Amino acid sequence: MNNRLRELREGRGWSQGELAERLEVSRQTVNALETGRYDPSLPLAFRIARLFRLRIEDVFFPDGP
Amino acid sequence: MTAARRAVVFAVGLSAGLLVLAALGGGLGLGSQARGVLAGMGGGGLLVGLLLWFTPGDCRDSAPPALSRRYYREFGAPMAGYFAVAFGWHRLLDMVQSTWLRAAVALLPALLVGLVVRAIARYVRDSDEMQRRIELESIGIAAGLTATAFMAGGFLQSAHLIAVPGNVAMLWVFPSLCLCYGVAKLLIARRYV
Repeated sequence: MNNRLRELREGRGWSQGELAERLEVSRQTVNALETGRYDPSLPLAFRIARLFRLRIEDVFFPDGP
Repeated sequence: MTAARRAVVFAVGLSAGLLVLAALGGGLGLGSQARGVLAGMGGGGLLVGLLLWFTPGDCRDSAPPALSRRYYREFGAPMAGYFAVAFGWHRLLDMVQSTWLRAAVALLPALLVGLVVRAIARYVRDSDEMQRRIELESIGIAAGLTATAFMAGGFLQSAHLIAVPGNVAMLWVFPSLCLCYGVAKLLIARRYV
């Protein structure tokens, strides 16, 4: 699964640490999400989308066509 | 050199110092029990230092600061108590005669280890979902490896190829589990870096 997390975070001018604090996760987890090494659970994906006032499908999208 | 690396170098230096003290302790009047504890602390410290040295920087931010602080507080106090008790444990045991009191003194280190396990369990429970996955996978692999190693030891002992006293073997279960957990976590956490 791919995502726009880094782009959205940088757009807000937040560091990974700040985003981690807002999501109540570790900075390592934010880094793994941004690099696509970890796919979040549905509740965390909803939390991320809600934080950026977007729908889940505007933040996360599947690999390939 | 980063602050984290400097801390590792300090920990390794301190651990090496404890090992030297354990080796030279006989001449300084330290008993075999105290020297054993010093050697255990030094050896454990060296292993933890090595594991931290090879841990990628990102993996060190594996918990929010508040959770880390609580974990270090809940883990550090009983661990310090464990080492303090370990130094005087034999002497204390020799001072009591009643079976119940002897049992209570004998189980004191296990009680402190129980508090350490509680701190670890609370840390895992309150970690975020990815960290919990890393922790649980590491603990699962460590439990499997430790059980396999001790079972292999049991078979070797049954075949009269090795001879390890039962109390020594039982005392080494938890440290072995911790060592396997540390190595497993280092390898598993790298997957997400």
